[in-house]
Amino acid sequence: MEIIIKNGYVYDPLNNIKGEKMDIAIKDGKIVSPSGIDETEAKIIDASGKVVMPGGVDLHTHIAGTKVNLGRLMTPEEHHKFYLEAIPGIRRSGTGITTPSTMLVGYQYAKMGWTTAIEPAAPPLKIRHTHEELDDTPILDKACFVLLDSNRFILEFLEKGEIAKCAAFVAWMLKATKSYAIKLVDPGVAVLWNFGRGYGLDIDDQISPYNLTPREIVEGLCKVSQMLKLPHPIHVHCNKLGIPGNFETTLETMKTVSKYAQDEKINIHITHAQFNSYGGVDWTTLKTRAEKIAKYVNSVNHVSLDTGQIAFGNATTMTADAPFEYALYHITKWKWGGSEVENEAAAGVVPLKYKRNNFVHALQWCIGLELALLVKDPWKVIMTTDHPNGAPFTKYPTVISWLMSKNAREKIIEKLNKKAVRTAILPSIEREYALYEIAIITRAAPAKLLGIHYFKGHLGIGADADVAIYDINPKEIDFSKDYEAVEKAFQKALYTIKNGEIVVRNGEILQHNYGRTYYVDVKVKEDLMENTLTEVKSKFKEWYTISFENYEIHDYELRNPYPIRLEV
Amino acid sequence: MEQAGGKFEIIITPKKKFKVPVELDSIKPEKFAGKKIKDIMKLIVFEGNRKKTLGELFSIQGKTSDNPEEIRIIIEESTSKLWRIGEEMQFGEIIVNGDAGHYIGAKMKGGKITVNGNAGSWIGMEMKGGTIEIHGNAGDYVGGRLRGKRPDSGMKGGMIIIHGNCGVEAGRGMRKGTIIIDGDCLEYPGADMQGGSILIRGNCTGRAGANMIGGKIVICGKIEKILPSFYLEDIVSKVKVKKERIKEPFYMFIGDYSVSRKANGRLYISKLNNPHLEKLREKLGLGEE
Repeated sequence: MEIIIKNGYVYDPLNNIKGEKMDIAIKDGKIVSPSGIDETEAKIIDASGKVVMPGGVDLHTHIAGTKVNLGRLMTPEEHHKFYLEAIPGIRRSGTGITTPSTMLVGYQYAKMGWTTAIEPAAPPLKIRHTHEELDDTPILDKACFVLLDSNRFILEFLEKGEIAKCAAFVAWMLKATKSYAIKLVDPGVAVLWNFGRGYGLDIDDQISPYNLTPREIVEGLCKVSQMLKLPHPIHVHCNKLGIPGNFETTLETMKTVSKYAQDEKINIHITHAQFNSYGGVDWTTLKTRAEKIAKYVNSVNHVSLDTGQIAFGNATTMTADAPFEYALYHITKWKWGGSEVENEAAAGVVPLKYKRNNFVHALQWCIGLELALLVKDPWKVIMTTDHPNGAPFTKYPTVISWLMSKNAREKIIEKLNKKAVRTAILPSIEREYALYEIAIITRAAPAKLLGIHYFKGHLGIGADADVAIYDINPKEIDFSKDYEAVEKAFQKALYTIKNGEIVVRNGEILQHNYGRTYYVDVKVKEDLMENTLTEVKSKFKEWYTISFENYEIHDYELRNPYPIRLEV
Repeated sequence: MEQAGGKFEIIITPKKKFKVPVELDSIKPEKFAGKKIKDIMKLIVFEGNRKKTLGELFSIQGKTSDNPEEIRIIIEESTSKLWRIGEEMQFGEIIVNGDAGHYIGAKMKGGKITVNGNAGSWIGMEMKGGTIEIHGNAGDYVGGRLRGKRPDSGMKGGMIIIHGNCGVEAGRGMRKGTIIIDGDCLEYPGADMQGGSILIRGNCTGRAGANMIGGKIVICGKIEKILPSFYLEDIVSKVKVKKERIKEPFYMFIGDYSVSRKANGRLYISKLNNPHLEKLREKLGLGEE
């Protein structure tokens, strides 16, 4: 199918195009030069007075896997509240708000103009389930990060200091589990959780029975990630998440890998940093430390953040930080679900409602925005809500309006808990994001950080034809005043084009197709790999309930596997 | 409302025997008010997963009014396949002659529903006001809440009277209002209860008031066991439930202490019908009578 998008205001940060009037031509799923297309046969979309952007890329969103499914099981009431009717031949049905079913995830993202989403925490043993669900998610391109911080093999290799073997094991693991990058969740905590401990584990605490600290795990896996030249750096959920006074731990985690930084490349990504920027001693003395985190991120080149913004309303917290969820359950006193994965990880799920008049929730809302606004370089900070922990991803348009307009923020601040407003620094921040910067934090920066920027997240010639068109005129509207228009435009994309096919028009799904699943296939020295795997195999038989041969996931088990091959 | 009855009556009769549930959330006085019978016939209902109009499935006769409070809807030859009658209704009256299905008067705010037959489950689910009277038996979760909702999101007001028996978990998560059951009931009446009162004139199979922290449950019949997390506080000579005084001795238990030390749910168990609880008297230090 050939498409020409005419006269739109194009925002394409990777090619440095800032709202210029341009034509974008699409042929066979790729962006081509407008001269290479026969206009009489192509479908012409008139985008004059509209915004044209690359399809959105979401770096961190829990959309598939066992713990998401546990969340779905635990919240039948919200699946009763919302459903999407099926239209035979066009779309399938779906239910849920904060934990939508797989079909609905794809449709809702496409409706907003997003075309790539990454599931950031999948325990290796249960990753087959994650892939089954990702395969079931329509329209989107996807990938998943594998949880390795509490993996017993990794811990043994790190304890013995066998970094080369550890790297070979990680390379094998990424290929075997068809995943994209290394995820660390509260490094080492799942080991302690097996003994019922682990809440508040700090970066220099011992992880018995191993002679290791979280700092050594972070450093070790950062080295491994750099040795393997993985396209995405280590994706870290820091220790002491959600505990007042945790900003020091976050700073330490960032500083500890600064010595490995090479050529100004990002080597650590701190995820949902909002939950890790707290000062104070307990919940009543909670303080914002977004300024300190932002100051460090501004001063160095090796760190990137995503915000983990919260929005008021229902959310379902789910993380592989099991002790934290257990503690949270004792605050909410409602529901808790725990899930343990042998030798690898542990997770918890707790539904939660964020309230404006609650001091902690109000301050959390401020901290998320402070981080986004205080980090000067938009390439280093990515907009997420850590779906569904802070808010469902369907709140992105609202978050965008908060970033783009001080008026929008002030409207919320008026009704916010007064103590939180006094404590926060958000009311004094004047900065407002421009539409170009929004295009960076939602598209270009995550694509670049994922290392897929050469074919995704931009509209240059040869890129994948993932395009979103929004019905908003940047030359006529003052975003600061008319923030509601921004919200409305981003809620319903005028067009979403995925791989050269029009999938959404006016916020309505037009067709149901499937995207690719990316994974990393790193080739390491054969003898090293063989040595490592013989060692692993013997222990595997002893430690695991399944056999080694059944552990690996093959290409034919995925719908559209797309390996990114590297050689070391 | 009573005086106006008969003046603005609408009689609805099914045209056929239904095999799948018909969702009748559009049958309520405020939807009928100000409409002609012709327009009422065009209201949309679901038969299973098929979209139909009311006129296709039912024959409708009678007169409507602009004021929903004056309207009385009578459903004749009703069966248990008719669900969600009077959901979210606020005014007027509905009379169901025959059995009714699930969710009768769910989330109701006012008015009156009478069922001259048996009814299904989730009657008066999360209701806020009004009256529901069932002359036959009722199913499970009377005045309860949907699964997964917060423990305190049950019935918030109004009155449910069941002249027959009812199933499990009557008044789950109830906060206010009254449920009166003339017959027997199964396990867990008043589970998660926060307030309001439940009167059971018949027997109960057990586990009354599990996890309750407020409110009042009165059981006039027999109950085999009381949950161990309830404490016998006193023996009272009479109990009052919504203007009705029951003058016979009752054991008064307080609980459920497994939830909280501050729990103040009251469980009244008939003394005469439960002689096996007599041994608890010693623990009260009351000695022989």
